[in-house]
Amino acid sequence: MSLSLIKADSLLAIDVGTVYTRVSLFDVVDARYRYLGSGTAQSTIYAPFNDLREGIHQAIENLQAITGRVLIGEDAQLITPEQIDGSGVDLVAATVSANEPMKVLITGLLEDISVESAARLANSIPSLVLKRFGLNDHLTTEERLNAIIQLKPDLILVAGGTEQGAENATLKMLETIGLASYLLEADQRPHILFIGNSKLHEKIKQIPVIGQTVRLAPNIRPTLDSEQLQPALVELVDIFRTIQQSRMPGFANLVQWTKGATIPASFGWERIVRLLSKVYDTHKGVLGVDLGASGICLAAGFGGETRVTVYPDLGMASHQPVPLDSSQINELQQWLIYDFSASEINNLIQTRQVYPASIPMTEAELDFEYAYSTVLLQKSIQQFLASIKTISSIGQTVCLPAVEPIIASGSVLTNPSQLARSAMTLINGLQPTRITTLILDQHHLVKVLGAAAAVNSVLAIQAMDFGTLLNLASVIAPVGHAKPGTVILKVKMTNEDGSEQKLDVRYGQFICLPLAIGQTMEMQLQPLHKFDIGMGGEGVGGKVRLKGSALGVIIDARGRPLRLPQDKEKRQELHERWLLKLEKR
Amino acid sequence: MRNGLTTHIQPLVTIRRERFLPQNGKVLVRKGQRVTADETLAVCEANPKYLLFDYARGLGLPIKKADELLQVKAGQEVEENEILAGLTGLAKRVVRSPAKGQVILAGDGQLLLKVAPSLFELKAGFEATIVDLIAERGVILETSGALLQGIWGNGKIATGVLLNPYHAAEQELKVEHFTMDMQNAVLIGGWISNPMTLKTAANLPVRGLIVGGLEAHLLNLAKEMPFPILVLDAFGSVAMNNLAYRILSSNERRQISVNAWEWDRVRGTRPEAIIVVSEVEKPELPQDIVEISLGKTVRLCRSPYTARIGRLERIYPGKTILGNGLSVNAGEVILEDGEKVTTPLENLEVIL
Repeated sequence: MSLSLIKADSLLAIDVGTVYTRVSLFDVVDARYRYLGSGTAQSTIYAPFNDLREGIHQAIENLQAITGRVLIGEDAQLITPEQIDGSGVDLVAATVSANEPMKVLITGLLEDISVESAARLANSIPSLVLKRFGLNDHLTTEERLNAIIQLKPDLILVAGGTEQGAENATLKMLETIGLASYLLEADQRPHILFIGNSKLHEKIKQIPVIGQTVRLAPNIRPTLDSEQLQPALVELVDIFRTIQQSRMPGFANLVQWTKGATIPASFGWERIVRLLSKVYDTHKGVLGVDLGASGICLAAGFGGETRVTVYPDLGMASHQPVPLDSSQINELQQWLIYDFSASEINNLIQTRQVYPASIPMTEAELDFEYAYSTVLLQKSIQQFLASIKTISSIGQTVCLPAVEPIIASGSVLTNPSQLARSAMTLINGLQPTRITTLILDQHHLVKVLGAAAAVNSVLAIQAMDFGTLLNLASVIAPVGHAKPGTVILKVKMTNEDGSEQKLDVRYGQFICLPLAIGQTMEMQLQPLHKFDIGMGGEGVGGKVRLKGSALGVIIDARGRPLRLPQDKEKRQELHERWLLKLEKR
Repeated sequence: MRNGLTTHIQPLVTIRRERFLPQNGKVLVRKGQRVTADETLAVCEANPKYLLFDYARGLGLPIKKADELLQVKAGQEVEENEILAGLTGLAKRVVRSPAKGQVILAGDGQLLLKVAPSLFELKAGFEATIVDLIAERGVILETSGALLQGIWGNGKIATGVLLNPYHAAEQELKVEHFTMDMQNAVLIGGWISNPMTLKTAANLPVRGLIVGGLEAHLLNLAKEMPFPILVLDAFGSVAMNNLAYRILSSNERRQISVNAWEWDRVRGTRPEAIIVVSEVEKPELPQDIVEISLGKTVRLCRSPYTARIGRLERIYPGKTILGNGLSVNAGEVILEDGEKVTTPLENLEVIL
């Protein structure tokens, strides 16, 4: 869409994270939206500030220093709309990933159906599911009542009943919730979102205490074999805003500045991934991954159908019960080049929680940082794959299905001096299959562009095109089984100048081929031994044109799932060798 | 401007703390009152339990008939075994209260009883003066004394006499350091790495432990200990920082309150130890928001300088490449022994 067709507004995008608050400026340059710069400051959601505005203000001051553009007026307020002298901005959009997860209690009828879908909905934003009630849990009304009162959830999701399904059990559950709400003090009463059989809406309005305050959303399981989370997600985000306004000083101002365009960061990811999944190859999915201090957010889109999940327990500084057991220690040691004792590992994880912004100063602790990231990514993607098996186009899988691209964000992954380690962490943690591109959201913009998309969708699309995202590497990861050393892929590379090279890829190899940003290369790929590279099935090859990137082309023929040597020294040597290949590409 | 994480390690400051009930309750003290460390400031109900009775079913009667035999009404206090519904007499069925409590709702064949709850008691935690009251919710306390904030606490609080068993900040606290004269004392030590140290301390028993470091694999055991454990500096076998050690060792044999509650970042409550110093002119309140700037006393939080204290000498412009290749905002710190080190600014706490 040409900008002449729309009103060209400048935009300030704000992201309030647990550790950092970032503000980014977008405006029109040469008839297209461009990213102009970012300012960062430490978040101020916690004591002694307890007000997110201080962090935003500091980040904007840093942005002013970088861009030279005046954004804050003499009255210390954000200048809006943009003035004739170029100061100020027209629009503001914001995402928030900071603060404690929302405490959620889930009720439904069948554990595997409505309760499971409600849990997936809850996990779309940072949530802690405290308890699940279902028909088969054999709890009495009294037990449910006491559980609600003791747990004091922020939100109760009430699912259950297909559109032609049961009514009485769901109504009885709501009456219990109503009684519990009556017994709780006014400021402790939970928000209630009904996401079950929509035929009950009128009856629900008659339930004492909660009838007039319960939020109603379309049924998330209209039939036994279909799930629709999107409409309920919009309601959930609105409840998230209401809860944060009461809990986080300054949040209400943020909502006011953004005219309501303040959303959880995960919702921003969901929007962008949905958008991209329509733009990119519809045979593949799109994957977004945000590895933050307080959780991992994974968003996947397949032909416009999306799923987003937040894992608050898998952040770099999330609370982990220590000591880790021997299997967890072993899991972490699988990815370490340096030797760490169990005791050292426990101490480091605990230190990370107390000082979430701290930075490793030694080679060994840097190694630990990326090994820990790998494990967190691995855990999250495994849980995610298990949860998206209901998306019909994917089916059940233990490996990541073909996705294009994988967009990654998060401080540990985007340090510009550690691109090789970032790529290695993404490849080892997510274990992409077939052909994909790794893209780094180096300025942490994707989620805020998701928020911006609600007020200016053209900006969101154009801003992603122009230098905001870094093409990290193209990855070719054939799927199949063979003896180590067997040739599994024949590659013919044709460069832009017409020169050709041939390469036989053997099972177990990890190869890095240079292909600088701005260059392209055509690759003729022929998999052998029934290996699959995503070109139409086992043993099917074809041509692919690859764009240059920071690290070039990585052919990962180590197999999926990746199996590492049991011998520690051999394993450490391999990790070092693979990393060196990327660093000295 | 970059605000630093601030940790207070001060020999004499005014210490002001808020104490809140988890829900509305009753405040028991008055403004201006002097309270002891273990004094109860306010109380509220803790975890009330509700019992739901289907007295119609209990009586074996239709709802309407059962309602006619209801003996209590909403709001009424009842004793254990008191009849809730039914008529007394031979061969008559009745529904009795299984516990003392209050009837919340009654009618339509059902009754909701709130069992008399236990009380949550809000303790002062240190000797102080009540400087303000928050109606039905809590108080604000104030005192003067030494303040040592830590990074981890096991959730317990206690007050006792401070003892320094082996007079060294850089030695592990071990079982062999314990003697019978340390019973009911608060002990200080370098670090703890052996579970037997904690178990022996519990058997002695001690009133509390304050250490520089604690091996993280002992955290679960430390939480089970009946006395407070305050970790001042780091996880691991790390010596206590010299500033804290000097304050503690110079106050040996004085009363110390160890409030080893968990670090609550929202409320800003940190695990801490307080040595009340009375009869002094009111000192300054310590600052909570401090900019990281040249000349500030700082503590480093990551290896190889974990828990080392020094002075911020320079802040480098732009980004600095560390030895491990990371590009960061960094500065130069002169450690107490004169060593100059380059460190990410993110790894610094301002010590006040």
